[in-house]
Amino acid sequence: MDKLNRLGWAEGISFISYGVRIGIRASREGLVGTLNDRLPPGWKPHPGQIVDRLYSFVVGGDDPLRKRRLLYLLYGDGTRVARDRELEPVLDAFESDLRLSVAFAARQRVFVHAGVVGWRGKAIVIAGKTFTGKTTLAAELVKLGAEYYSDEYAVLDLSGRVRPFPRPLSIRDPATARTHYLSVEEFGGRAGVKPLSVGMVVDTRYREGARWHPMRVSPGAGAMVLLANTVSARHRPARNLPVIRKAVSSAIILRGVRGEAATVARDLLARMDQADAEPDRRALGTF
Amino acid sequence: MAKLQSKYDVRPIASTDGMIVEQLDTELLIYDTARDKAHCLNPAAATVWKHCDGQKTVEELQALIAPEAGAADSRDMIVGCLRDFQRRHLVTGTTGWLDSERQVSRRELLKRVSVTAAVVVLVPLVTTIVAPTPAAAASCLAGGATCSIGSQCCSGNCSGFTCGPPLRPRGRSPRNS
Repeated sequence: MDKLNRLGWAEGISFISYGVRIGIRASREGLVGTLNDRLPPGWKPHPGQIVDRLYSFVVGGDDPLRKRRLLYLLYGDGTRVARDRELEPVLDAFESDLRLSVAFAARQRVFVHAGVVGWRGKAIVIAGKTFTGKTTLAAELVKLGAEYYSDEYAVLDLSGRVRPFPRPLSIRDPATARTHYLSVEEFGGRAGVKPLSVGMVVDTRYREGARWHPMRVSPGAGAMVLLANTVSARHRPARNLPVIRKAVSSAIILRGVRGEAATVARDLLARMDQADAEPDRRALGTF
Repeated sequence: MAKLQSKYDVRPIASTDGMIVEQLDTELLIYDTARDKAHCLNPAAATVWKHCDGQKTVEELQALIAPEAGAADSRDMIVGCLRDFQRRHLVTGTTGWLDSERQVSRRELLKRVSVTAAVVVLVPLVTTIVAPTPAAAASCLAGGATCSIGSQCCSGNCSGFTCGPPLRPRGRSPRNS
């Protein structure tokens, strides 16, 4: 870190996101101003100089004096996060590391890796690992009229309600493995803003040709699904467990492999409507 | 002389050191901070674990679960349940005794007990997960995507600025070769 501090830094900013203070500095002017789109939703400038995590960009590119190309380097505190000949991959790495750092260090929020939409005042949480099809399913639900909350993290407050984390949906191109981003408006949907209690937790993954026959499982199984995808699961278990318990206590928990997202999305909304209309059946678990 | 103990005098004790316990309706969530594992005990297992107070004998614990099942079946259930607890470091005081007890698989037990819904629910079950590290609970890049370091890739292998296949551990030959 001392070596890094000795480098000349041309510019820097600090901001706060979900209670986590972040600093960014760059070795050349003009980079920091272009990062706004890559910062987490709801960030605000922070006037202090002490931050929880400090990112240092060493700007590369052509070096006309020595006639060679310098690498772009990114450090998070004292550890190298990325290095590349091009800027774009380093910025992608920055964005992903930044979101993870905020998710890990947030004190008043529990971040669960999940897609979230809102439907008639309740949240549908689609928890799961990368490449299980969370974004595809969330996008289908949005197309059917659900409010968009997140395609990456279910942000739970201490009372177990879901808060929005409305970054653009990240759509992967299977051919190139590259990700491109689309705003929820481009899907013809809208983003939710109010905190919602969890109405449904879906534990599913895509398998080509699979038929959707979900099994209803217990709230305890739902809690395990959320915990298995919680960023700070190991770091703050004493805080996370009560929050997760509150989140799943009155939710429907569904588990099963799925095929095409459109069919599943329609079924999930129908089940939510049914639970809304017949709360006694929800209590009895007779879906 | 080694300390002898009658098999009728085994009194399991629930391990609570370093355990964070959360009641979820009739189920129990337990987080083991020493091993970073989370356990979910179904209602029957939760009942047994809560009564493992060092006072109740195995026979008394046996009476708490599955009164509909026959004596042999409920004995096998409590043995299986305590074995699950011991393997997961959820009880102490059962080590020598469990080794001497007959081991019945859960599948065999479920087959034997008449599989009505009511009885299946009463079989004590413990589900366990290893708590994820922060990186394991976050999005990662697929094979072929541009990367800078290994931790960005789902495979953990960033080679030549591209996510490659998972690396085999050194010193092991591939299977079937």
